[in-house]
Amino acid sequence: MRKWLLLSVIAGIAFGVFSAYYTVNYIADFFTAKNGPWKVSLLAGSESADIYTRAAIALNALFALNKSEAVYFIAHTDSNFNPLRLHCDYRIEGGYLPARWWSITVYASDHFLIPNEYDIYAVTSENVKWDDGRWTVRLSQQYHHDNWIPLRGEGNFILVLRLYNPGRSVYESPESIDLPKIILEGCR
Amino acid sequence: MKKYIVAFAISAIVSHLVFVAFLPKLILVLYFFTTTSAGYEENKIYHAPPINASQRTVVLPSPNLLYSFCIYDISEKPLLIEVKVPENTYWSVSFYDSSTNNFFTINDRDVRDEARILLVKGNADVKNAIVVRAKDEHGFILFRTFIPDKNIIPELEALRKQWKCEPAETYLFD
Repeated sequence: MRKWLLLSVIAGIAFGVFSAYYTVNYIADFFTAKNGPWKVSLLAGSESADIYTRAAIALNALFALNKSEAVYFIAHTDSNFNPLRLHCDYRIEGGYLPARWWSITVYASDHFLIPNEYDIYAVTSENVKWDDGRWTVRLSQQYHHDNWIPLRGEGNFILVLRLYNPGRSVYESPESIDLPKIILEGCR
Repeated sequence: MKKYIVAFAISAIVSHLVFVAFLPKLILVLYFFTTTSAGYEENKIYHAPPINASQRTVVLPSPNLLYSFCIYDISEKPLLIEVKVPENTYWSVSFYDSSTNNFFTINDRDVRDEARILLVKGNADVKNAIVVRAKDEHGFILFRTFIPDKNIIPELEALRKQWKCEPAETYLFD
């Protein structure tokens, strides 16, 4: 009798922990604003974040800054909502972004940088080459002279767009600001 | 049968909420454990080398930032942070409590040339430093410096070697 009670408690704890882990990621996604392929949690780094979002941030973006300091947009797909694949070529097209400076970084699906012989993982507003107020960045396994982030290996990847000291429009209406487009050019 | 269902439901709800509520603290404790077992001491500043793909400690590291950090313990003394602020580039210092809450951030727009910050757990009437009140005695301080151009890394490295994060001496309270 007591044994069955103990088993019920153990099963309950296992279910509770499993459902917590699942819910953390699900609910964090629910409280996320979307702009094309880009997703952003404006509660990142804030003390007002609920326990689920805070847990998701601790899992996925430990030591994130609050929204007045930096806003983090994450893309798992291109602008047609197809998963980003390391064996494909993409171009990212953008222009002015309302922030003091910005960066776009490529990460593997485990959220760490992808090794490459050029030590290039990102572009920033300071090193991107502009053309008449616009810029285009290539993501490819193939070499490009500039505005290029190398892709290596197989599987999926993600992009993180960081806007530092963003304008108010970024965190007050992230759905409506003009963010870069991620365009698939082809796969190998 | 009913009491088994009740036992299952109660333990599931409690463990669910405890897991979610304490996950950030658990992750931070694991992180502290990893860093302290790697030889990092509390109340001391450390400068991470420029980020590349070999860095696999914290997820989503920015390769465009130089990171410095200080694990704090202010149970005995307040903490004094002294920084020569880099010119013409973004710089910030952020304070996180033991639940990973970012409870204070200051950047190069808020302070010029030199920043002197005193982290305290209670109140402090100090005129010669920016006073930051911590909610608990343990946490993490993260310094970020933007690298606009890789050629200025040596200059930024030399500057941050002068930074301090150490227990405060009493003269600050005079």
